Amino acid sequence: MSAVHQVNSEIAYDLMHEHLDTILTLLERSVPKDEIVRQVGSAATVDRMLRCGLVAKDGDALKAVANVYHQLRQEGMVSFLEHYVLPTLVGETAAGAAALLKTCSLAIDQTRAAGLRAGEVQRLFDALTQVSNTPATGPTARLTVMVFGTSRRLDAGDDGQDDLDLALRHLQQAALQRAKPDERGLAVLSQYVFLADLARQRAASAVVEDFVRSLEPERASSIKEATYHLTVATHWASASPGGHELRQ
Amino acid sequence: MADSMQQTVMSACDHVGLVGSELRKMLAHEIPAKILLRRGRDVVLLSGATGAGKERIAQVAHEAARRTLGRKGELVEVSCANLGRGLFESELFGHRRGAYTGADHDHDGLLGRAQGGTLVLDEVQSLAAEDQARLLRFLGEREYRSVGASDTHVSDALVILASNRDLRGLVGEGKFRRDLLDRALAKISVPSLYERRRDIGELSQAFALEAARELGAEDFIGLTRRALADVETAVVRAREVSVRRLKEIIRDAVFALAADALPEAIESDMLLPILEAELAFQVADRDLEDQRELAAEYDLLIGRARLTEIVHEHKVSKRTLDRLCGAIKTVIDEMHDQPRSYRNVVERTNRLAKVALWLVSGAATQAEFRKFFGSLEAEMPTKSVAHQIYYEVFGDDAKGRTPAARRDPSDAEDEL
Repeated sequence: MSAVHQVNSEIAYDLMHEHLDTILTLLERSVPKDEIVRQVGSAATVDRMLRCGLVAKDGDALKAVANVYHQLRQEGMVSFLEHYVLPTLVGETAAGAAALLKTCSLAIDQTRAAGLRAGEVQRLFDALTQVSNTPATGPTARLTVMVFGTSRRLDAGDDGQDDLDLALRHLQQAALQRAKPDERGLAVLSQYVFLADLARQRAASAVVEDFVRSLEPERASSIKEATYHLTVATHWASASPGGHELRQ
Repeated sequence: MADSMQQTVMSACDHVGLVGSELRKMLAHEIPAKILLRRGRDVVLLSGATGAGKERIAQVAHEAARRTLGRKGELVEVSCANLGRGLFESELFGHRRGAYTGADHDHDGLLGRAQGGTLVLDEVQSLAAEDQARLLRFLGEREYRSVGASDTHVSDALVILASNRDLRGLVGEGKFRRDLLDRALAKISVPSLYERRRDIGELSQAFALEAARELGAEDFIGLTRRALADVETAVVRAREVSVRRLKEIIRDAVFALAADALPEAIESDMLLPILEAELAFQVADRDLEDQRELAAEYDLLIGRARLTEIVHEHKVSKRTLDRLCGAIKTVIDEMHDQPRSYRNVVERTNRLAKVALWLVSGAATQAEFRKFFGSLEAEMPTKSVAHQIYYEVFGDDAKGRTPAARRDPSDAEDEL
């Protein structure tokens, strides 16, 4: 099994979004084909997943083809935000969800900003892959880690906003910047999703805390002085009632 | 009452096969407000660009009126542009045998056929001045006399005047009668296709699947998200108004691909040459449209996401949310009609806050609403306040047998 599977085909992209929970389960273990057919609702869909190379046969079962699936957005930005990003970000405070939301403003130059995505953010995701590969012992639920970064200046009025409002502004500016070919490389708009039990969720939170701490030396003294704005958010819709006590 | 009318409109949309959630949502509000609650007595002006779907909407209106108002007559549609000069009177009102040369039998006319049903006069702007006068006279009195007859008939048809032109502009140019325009008390304006972004994708998918069914392609799943996003962008940027044109483009794409072998899905690169040729779409438009949409809709998206979260967290039902949105819309609509003084605005927003409180409380009765705030009298709103808010929320529903009374007779003391 390869380390990373790049999802390029449009049909595979759609299948990933429509059946993400199934793919996440297959990343954990092989599952009998019949059970997958039941989950996705039709044998034709499973055959399509096989044809696209999203999953592979493992005897009578199906398995994931890599440890990590990587895909780039293939739909309109607003649709992407509406369906995959905002519900998770705004649902940060929902009952039963364990969430971590960190915003920071940095004073870095453009070269450094352009390197964040392939550098620190990729290392964060690599660390999360390690977390996702640790054995899960308890009930699992989807854990999403989102990173938005933008070198666009924010209004001075954004200073003093609460973290969620600030994160939403970061997201807006990152999305706008990603939609501009000449500025695209300066913005980050990425998310990493896997199934986590309580232990993985805690480990992932620690990884995220470390990531934010690593940027501390570059933190700007105020939004006005900042040249880069970054948000890291995690969302774990806990499968157990114990998730309530983990709200942060 | 309004809830069940909205459901009826949705069922009528299904019956007629009207696709497009944005348009359906609009009709679920407009048809009850402009037709059903008025019991179909007011003349309706249905305006919108060519191909925007006026014909289908008229069918939905007819079907909804049939189901809600118990009308049993048929739907009669005619294009005024196709009625030759001098034929309108005879076509609309009918004629008696021998009324004029060639009238060798009695003819009921459109109004006769539409008795108890719906009459749609499409392209009403094409009527000659004298025919506009005849139509005006009929719409005022609802009585007509067939050509060559001495007796008069009364029509109860729901009359829909449809036009793809700006009738106000035509009035200004002296080509359409102002009093005829004013006679249409209920006006429904159909947004053009490019103004209904969500509908573009839904319609495209429906048209593609329909064409594939005709080809017997069972495994075809439609357009991919990327392809759908491109169609949406192409239609919006080309400001394409017509659903018919979109249908033509998508069907062309399906049949052109099927000439070789229809793939299991239409991907964006397969569609690109067609979108380039038909709608001048370019790949660079993707980014431009993303920028435009983000600038226009980001705050709205956040609002929608927050609302969804609140609804989820407080277990607010869809019905309650619809009512709340209706109450907000009423307040906003009233703002346009009233002077926007501080006093007026505060009065209305205060009322809205009370309505919102009721809806969030999830109460079915006035007693339940009061108990939402606590168990002690001092914690609750007074009975008269609860009573007043109840009527502000439920409006006309509260005058008849209320849902609350049906659900919980023990609270009947709170009902009027």
